[in-house]
Formats: sequence, structure tokens, C-alpha cells
Amino acid sequence: MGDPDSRTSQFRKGAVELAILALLASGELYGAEIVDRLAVLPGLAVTSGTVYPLLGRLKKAALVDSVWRESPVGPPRKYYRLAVAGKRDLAEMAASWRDLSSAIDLLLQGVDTRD
Amino acid sequence: MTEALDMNGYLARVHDALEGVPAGERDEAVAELEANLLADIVRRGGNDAAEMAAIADLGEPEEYAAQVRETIGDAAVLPQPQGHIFGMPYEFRSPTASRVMERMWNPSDPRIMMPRSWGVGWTINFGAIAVRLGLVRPDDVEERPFENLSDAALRAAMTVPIVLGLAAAALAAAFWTRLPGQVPVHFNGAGAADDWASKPFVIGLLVGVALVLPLLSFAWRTLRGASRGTIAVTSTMLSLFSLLATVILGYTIANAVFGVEGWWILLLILGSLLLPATMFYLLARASLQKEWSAAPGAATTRRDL
Repeated sequence: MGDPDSRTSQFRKGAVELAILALLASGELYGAEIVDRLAVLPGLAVTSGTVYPLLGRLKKAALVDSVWRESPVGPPRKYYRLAVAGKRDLAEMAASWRDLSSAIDLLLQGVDTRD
Repeated sequence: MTEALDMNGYLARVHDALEGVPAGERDEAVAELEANLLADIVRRGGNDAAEMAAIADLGEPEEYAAQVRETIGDAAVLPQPQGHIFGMPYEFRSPTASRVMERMWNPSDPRIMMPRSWGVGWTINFGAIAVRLGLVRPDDVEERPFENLSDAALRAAMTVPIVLGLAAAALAAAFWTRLPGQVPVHFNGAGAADDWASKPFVIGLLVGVALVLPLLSFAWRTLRGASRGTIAVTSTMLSLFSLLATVILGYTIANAVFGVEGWWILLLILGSLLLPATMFYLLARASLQKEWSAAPGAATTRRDL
């Protein structure tokens, strides 16, 4: 309850879902590629251990589809892409994310975090 | 990590840690992880060091399993009934095609009897039967089977209930004048009529279910831009309704006009289930084959869905 780390990881998870949808909006990617693209953003702090289960969830929720594609090296890879519902969801989530984050930013401006 | 795990060891530990999760979900989560992990290992060079590094990034298998549990925790994800009444599952949330699909065509779930997608009791998971007959594999469902259907296959599926409905309407029209004002509306176990109602009501209802329902439903789905999966499932369900209505209409006419009766009508009604079962199977197969054949030509087959 009082552990800030676990609370941060709770809202980070929702953000990572949105981040995955946003990434897939520009084209299909396979799992490790998604991890790579997100891992370069330090604020998200993701690993494959958080991304793969979320991909499974997004797929179950029919927000993303997956397809097998031949790979130039090794066996076929599973690629993920936005489903129709995912596009819709992304638009809605992006709008509410912007509203939410500007509201929280505004509130946090008055908070002294140094003490 | 205390000892180095290889991929299969890791997958086995995740699988163990997912104990209690429904078998289909559990296998699917492990298969998903395996696919992603394999691609990652190959990308990192495909050797033992790559395998170890990819696994190390995942964290402990138990932690990974905990993440999976968390993500599949919400009710919409699991094909579980909304509740139980006298030991029977019930579900009164409005049915969606994906819920109908996960219950009636869900090869990844070994249960043959599934909670109904609407109402009280159970329904048949044709996917589980197809797996037991060796027609499909449990992981065949993974790629959202009906979404890759061709337009021709979808049109054929939609034609089935319409043709049955037209047959029912033709039958009703041909025998309308020979039917009495009161026609049978209920039959006992021996197939003999034991309740009657007015002709326009009974015949109208049966032709309505057989023909008007599919027409309205397809019009509605088309207007709303339904997905291929939804149309495929809807066509299959409507085919069952149309066939049942047509069979019952035929029997009603045979009984009222020619005095035919027999318990075998029950067999005909049960046999009607073969139609949706066959349609589910053919559609799922057609869609999977399309997907597999599309797989190698990545760049050329990429389409905006």
C-alpha cells in the first residue's frame, strides 16, 4: 500500500500499454523490436518480462493482431499489429492521457518535491 | 538468478507457476512467450550466450508468470460464466461475437461443454471436438481464425442461412392454402402434435427466423462495419437458426397436411447441429490456410485492416 515503487509500477503498466499501441500505429513489429524501442525511453523502464505479457493481453482484448512472418535469419517471427479496435482505443487513450497528464502536471507544479 | 536456465527450462517454470490458470490461457501465454523469446534469441546471435541474455532480461519465471496472471485477470479475457445458478452457469451480458467464438470455437480450451454465451446452461465448444478428432491443433485458434477469410468464403457463409430461409419461405408459400387455420406449435416426444396456434403466427414466426432474421442481421452487421470474424460467427449461428426453423416448418407442414409424425424429428433437430459444426470447421480452416499461405510474402501481403 505505502510502497511508492509498486504504485509507480501500477500506473507505468497502463502507460506501457498505451506506448505499445502508439508504437504499432506506425507499422507492425515483433516482440523483441517492441522491447528495444521502449527500452531506449528510460522513463518507461520496461523489460521483455513486462512487454510480452502485455502483448498477450492486448491480443486477447483484440486490440492487436499477430501474424507469423518469415525472417531473414532463423525461424518465422511473430509480428504484432494494431487491430481496428486498437486504433480506436489508441485515439481515445491518447486523448485522455493528454488531458490527464496536463492536469497532473498543473497540480504538481505547486508541489515541492525536494523535502 | 541462482542457476542458469535454458529456454525450455524457463518455459517449463513459467508453465508450472501458472498453475490454476485455465489450460487454454496457460498454454497460450507460454506459446506467446516462446515465440517472442525465440525471435529475441535468434536476433541476439542464436547461440547459448544469446539464449542466456534473452532469458536474463525476462526476470525470474515466477515473476513473469505473475505478470501474466495480472494481465489475464480481468473477466472479459476468460471464457468463464458470469455466475452459477443451481450448479449451472449463466451469462446475461449481451453476447459479442468474440464471446460466442471463445465458447463455440475455441480449440485452445479442452472443455467440450462451455458456459453459454447468453442464457443458462452450456453450449458445445466445436473447437475442442475438432481438436479431439485431430482436425485442428489447440494453438490454431491463436491467430484469430476467422479474420483471414476471403470475401468469397464470407459470401458463401452468408449465403447458407439466406438459401435456407428462401427454402422455408417457398415451402410456406407452396403449402399455405392447404394448411388449416390452426397449425401445430408443439410436439410431444413421439412427434405427435399436442398444442396448436394460428397459422399466420406459427408460419410467420418460422419464416421470420429462417429468412427475415438473417437478412436483418446481415444488413445491421454491414452497416456497422462488422469484422470478418463477427460476420463468420453470425453466419454460422444464423445458419443453425434457419436450418432449425426450416426443419420445424417442414415437419409442421408434413404433420398438418399429410399427417406424418414420428420421434425421428428429434434426430433431425439434433442433426441440425452438424451444419454449424461443419461451417465452423470449414471457415476456421479456410482462414488458417489463408494466413499460412500469406506468411512468407510479408511485404506484399501487408494490408491495412
